[in-house]
Amino acid sequence: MTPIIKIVSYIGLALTIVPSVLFFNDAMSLDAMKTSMTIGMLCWLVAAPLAQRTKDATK
Amino acid sequence: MSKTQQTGDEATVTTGEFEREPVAKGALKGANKFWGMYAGEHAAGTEFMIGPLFLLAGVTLQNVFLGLLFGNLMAVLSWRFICAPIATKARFTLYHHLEKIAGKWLVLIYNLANGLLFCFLAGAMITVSATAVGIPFNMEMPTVEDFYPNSLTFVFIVLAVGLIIAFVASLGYEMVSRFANIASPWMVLVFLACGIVAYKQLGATSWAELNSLWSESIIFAQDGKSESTMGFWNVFLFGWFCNAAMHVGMADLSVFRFAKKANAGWATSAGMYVGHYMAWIAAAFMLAAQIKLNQDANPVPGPMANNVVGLAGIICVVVAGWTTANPTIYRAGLAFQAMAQTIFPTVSRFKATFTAGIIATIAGAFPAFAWQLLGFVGLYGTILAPIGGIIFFDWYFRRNGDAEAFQKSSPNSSFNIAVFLAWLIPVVPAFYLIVYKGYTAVNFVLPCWLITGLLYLAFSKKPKAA
Repeated sequence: MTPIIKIVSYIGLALTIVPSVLFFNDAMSLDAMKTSMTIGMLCWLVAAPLAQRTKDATK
Repeated sequence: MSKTQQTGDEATVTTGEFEREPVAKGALKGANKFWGMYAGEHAAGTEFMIGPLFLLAGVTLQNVFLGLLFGNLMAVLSWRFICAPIATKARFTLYHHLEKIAGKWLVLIYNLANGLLFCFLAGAMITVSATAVGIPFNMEMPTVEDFYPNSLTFVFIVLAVGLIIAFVASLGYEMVSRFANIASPWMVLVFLACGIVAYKQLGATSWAELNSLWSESIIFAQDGKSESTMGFWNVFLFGWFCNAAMHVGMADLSVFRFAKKANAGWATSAGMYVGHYMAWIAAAFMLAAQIKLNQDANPVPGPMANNVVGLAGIICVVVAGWTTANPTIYRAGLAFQAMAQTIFPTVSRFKATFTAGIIATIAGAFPAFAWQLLGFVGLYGTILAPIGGIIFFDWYFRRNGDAEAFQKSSPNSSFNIAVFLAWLIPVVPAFYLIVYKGYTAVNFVLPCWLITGLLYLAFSKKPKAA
């Protein structure tokens, strides 16, 4: 479970920054970029606390 | 801007343990613990305000880039060479350290000033959050001309946001500080994304073009004029002293007392160059892009973030405002509690913190505090940082850096008049010149710090041993 949560959280971060770079390079529209960033935000804000909790529990 | 967001590590650091004793060897932390803490801490809600305010003040693009580059460097050096060396030797909180020099009653006065200024700072953060929360309610956004609340909806939203923050802060900030810790990497990336998208929206392909777009934005924002109220040195001093109370003012003794070595002071560069460089410039570009695309020079963070990155930007503004206002109110509450307990020993932290939250919420309903953030931050440093001058001069010229003797020493009196006079003599005229004569606040921080320290040496005697 933990590796999956970690991967989701990293995907969240990637979806936060990569779309803006794609938009900058004209490889993505503004609306698609905003949608991707919203998905990224949800991934990070859901997965990161879970990953942290798992990390704390194993300590 | 603010040194207010507390992460898990700092939570232990500032309030949990070793409040009246030197930090034990076993509790010391390596430098790596401080890097993430400072990076997250300075990605605050107010960063969305400060960058755009440079544009409105007519600062040239070159002065923004260079002034902040060198100003932030000086801030890092101040943490590393002024604050961290004393913190890692004395190993006391600012309050306990100051109490040994100035006595408990003077610490209370410092606490009152600190608490009130924290409330106004938190008020600006509540305003910032309210501009994002108000978007789905079609709230009429306050403009830079608004000193008073501009609509009933704005007041209701500020009240709702402020009371929630005050209530959560009163319960303690453990949960919020953990959430802030988790959210900070994401917030930093949102700031960066905002900058990238805004730059793209500006459509500049060269420095000359960017410079020209920037100048056009200033002219638009100033209704056809192009007047700069801040030159290179003002921006430089602002970058250096916007956290003056924390570095030269020594508030971060409470943080670095846990560091194994003074080298941990370099960790502040993460906060300065992520929060006070990248984020401020990104936020300034957001306003420039908004001016270009919408012919709107209103620097309201919620709509600006929404324009460039959508919902993620709105949530980022709310989270950044909330996670920084919350510990600010908590700290103000602790300061008020310490003060109130000398008269009413049973005053609870909940009541003191909630009172601080109410003051902050009322301040938040006045958008002027957010618009005047550049001046307010300078005033905050001018009032509080000189206390750090006393600590610095006392440490090197009165104690000769002898940590062991200092730890065993006791205050000369419960109200050290030498400290009080040394603090007031430069700060009162500076306050008058800033507030009533309109002088630029950050220009007074360094002179007040130096004069206070030197006056302290002139007025004080060698402290008695334990």
